[in-house]
Parts: sequence; C-alpha cells; structure tokens
Amino acid sequence: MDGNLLMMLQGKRQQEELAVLERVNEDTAQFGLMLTEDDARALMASRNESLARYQRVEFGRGILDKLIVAFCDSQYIEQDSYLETLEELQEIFYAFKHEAGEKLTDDELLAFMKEQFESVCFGSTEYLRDTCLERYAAKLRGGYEGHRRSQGRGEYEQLSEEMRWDNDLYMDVVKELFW
Amino acid sequence: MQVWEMEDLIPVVAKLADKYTSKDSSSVSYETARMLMEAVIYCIREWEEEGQSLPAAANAGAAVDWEPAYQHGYGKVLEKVRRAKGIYEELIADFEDYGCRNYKDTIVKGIPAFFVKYDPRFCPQDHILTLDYPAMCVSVTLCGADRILEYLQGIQIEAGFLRQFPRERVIRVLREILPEYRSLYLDNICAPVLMRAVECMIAGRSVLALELQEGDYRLIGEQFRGDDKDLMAEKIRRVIGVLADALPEDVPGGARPYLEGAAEDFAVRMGLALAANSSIARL
Repeated sequence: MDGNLLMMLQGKRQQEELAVLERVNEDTAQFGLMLTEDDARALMASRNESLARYQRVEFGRGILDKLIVAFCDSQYIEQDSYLETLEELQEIFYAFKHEAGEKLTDDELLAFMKEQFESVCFGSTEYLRDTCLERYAAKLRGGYEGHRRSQGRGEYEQLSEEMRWDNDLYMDVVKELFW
Repeated sequence: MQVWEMEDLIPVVAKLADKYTSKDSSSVSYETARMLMEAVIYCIREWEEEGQSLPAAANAGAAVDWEPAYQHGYGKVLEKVRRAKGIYEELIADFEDYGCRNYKDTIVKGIPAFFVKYDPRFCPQDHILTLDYPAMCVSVTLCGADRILEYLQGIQIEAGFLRQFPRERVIRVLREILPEYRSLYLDNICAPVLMRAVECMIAGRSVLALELQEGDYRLIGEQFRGDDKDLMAEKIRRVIGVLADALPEDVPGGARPYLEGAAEDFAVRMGLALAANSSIARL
C-alpha cells in the first residue's frame, strides 16, 4: 500500500508544486537565486527519492517552498550551487525527520537547520548532517523537550562538543603580534 | 459492494493527516500514513454498512468528495462507542465473575482501558485490547469499535443467561471442568453452563440444578443416535431456542440467535462426549 500511495500522491501534486515553485522564484530573485522548470522537476524528483528512502509521505504542499524561503537569504548559497544545495538540504530535512521520529515540527527543524548552516557549519551541509543534526536527533530521541520552548533556535550551544573560542590562545596570539 | 478506490480517499486522508500533525509537519511516516488510510477506510465502511447511497457525482463518473461519507461513518463509530459504553455500564452494575480471574480481569480491568485509550479519529480500527476472555459467539474478524460493541453485546447476553442459575450451581459446573478454574480457566464460562442446561433438558432433569446423573448420558446419546453433525446441531439449536425463550425480559434482545450460534460447536462436542460417555460440558 505504501508504494502505491506514494505514486498516487506524486502524480496528483506535480503540476501544483511547479506553480508554487515558480511563485517562490519571485521571492528569491532579490537574492540572485532562481530555479528553472528543469531545476524544479529535478528538485521534486530528488525529494521523491528522499521520501521513499526515509519512508515518508507528503500529503499537502510539501516542504520545498518553505525550505527555499528559509534558506534563500543564506550567505553561503549561490546560484551556481543553488540546486545542488537545495537537494542536499531537503535530503537532510527528511533524514532528520526520520531519525528524530516526528518529535520536531517543520518550522522548528528548519529554524535549527538554518541557524547552524549559517553559524557553526559555515555553509557545510556535510557538517550540518553528520554533526549538528546527528547530535540533535540523539538528544531528542533521549526525551529532550526544550525545542518546544525555543522553537529550534539557540539549541546548539548545549550540544556542541568543540571549543570554538579559546580565550587563552587568542590572548597568546595577540601578545605575540603586538607586544 | 465497494464503490471507491483507495486513490479516491487520498484527499480525505490528507485532511486527516493535517489534523494528526496539527499542520506542524508536511510529511508523515509510512506507518502513520497507513494508520490514517485505514482509519478513513474504516469510517467509509461504516458508512457503507448503513447502505447509504452513492454521492450523485459517482454515478455520473465524476470525481467524488468522500469527506461527507467519511464524516458520516466517523459519527457512526462515535455512536457505537457510546452504545458500547452504555452496555458496559449496565453490565458492570451487577457484574458477577463467579470467581473466574480471567473473566474478571478482562471485563473489570480491560474494558475501561478501551474507553480511555480508543482513538476514533486517527485509529478507529484498533480496539487496543486483546480480549483475553473469549465471548461465546462473536466474530474475531471485526476490529475497532465494532469488535468491542459486538463483544460487549455478547457478554451482556451471556451474563443475563448465567444470572438465571444459582451462583453455586454455575461454580459447580466450572469446578467439574477444572477444580482450579478460578485462576487457571481461560475459556468462556457461559458455554459449559449452556451445554449442561441443554443436556439437563434433554435428559429431563431440572435445568436450574445443572446436574446430571450417571445414566443420563445413555439417555442423551439415544436422542442423537445415528444423527449426522448437522442434524445434531439442529436438535441442539431447538433446545437452546426453548431455553432462550424462557429467559426473562431483562435479558437483552437478540439472546436467542446469539445463544443458538453455539449449536454447531456443541454438536461437534456432543459427538465426542457421546463416544466417551461423558458430559459435553466437560470437553
């Protein structure tokens, strides 16, 4: 039943989604980002693969337009790698939904992803997937509920295991340079 | 006849998925999608069960909005839960377990959990309970509210039937089957009492006493000599009918067909019991 249901849904939604993505293009144009119709189709095809891989079903308008709007002002996304980055981000989105077991809403997850992508990840989807989201998923599976309050914002501080700013080292370097 | 395809129900499932996620998640797992699809199908079948007519558009071959049919079926599910609760309240008011632990645990502890945990909106097909105590003649193919309603209707009839006999007589029949019946007897308790009542009637003994004498088995055997299973079942059904007709009015309607439903099983047991020169209630 699952495979059939997915096929039925995909067939029904394609035209509708193309129209939505075309409208989203108008919003992203100000950031120099555009998707062609072929790009949009490729994005939907890879979305369908991700949904099947993570055994999920989308009934409504899906997450693509929200994902695009959330990330379109990123300092790390450029037109040359726009499609590729979106494909990776949506793959990460569904992977995390699968890993976290429905514990996070779409908006909370997007807020968390965007915040880390812009800060600790410096635009690396690999770091976002393998480090930030893996740690966050483990914490959520362990029963963490703090995201309800934070809406997915400012969550990574407590998960980070790396020292990102070593004050002593900084002072040593400053002394070496200016003293 | 099923007049819809699964594809027709997707818009209804999509709306239900929105409710399930409170519109906070655009996707659900296969497992959740399957549960929601089954929930919609369950309600549509409730609607079909009432023999409702097809939406007009379906006859014209056009796309049909199945939402009203689903909502109607959902209302029926709620109505069945309310009916089940009414029956349970009547049943539990003067509930007698005859010391049988399995019976008591299922009815007193199990059934209330159904009313607390049953989810008619998102999972009406799951009746949650394993119903460890078996009712005498209910379908095990039903599920959800249908299963619980039919189960409670059956148990209520059985309890009404058992109430007609002195408590110690019922206990005596159960002890004959298994001396430690209180903790170890896992089968239905009405069936052996009904079987014994049938035997007493055939042997011309007092039905209320539920007691047979040694020579009675030969007498009962003579009544069925040379009969095939179907004829035995028919004779037993007639005796059960007489017993059911003698039940007072406070035993719920439908008692006769319900109790008669045990006749075929009794006929098989009767054949075995006669071969062993024993009471069928002991088999």
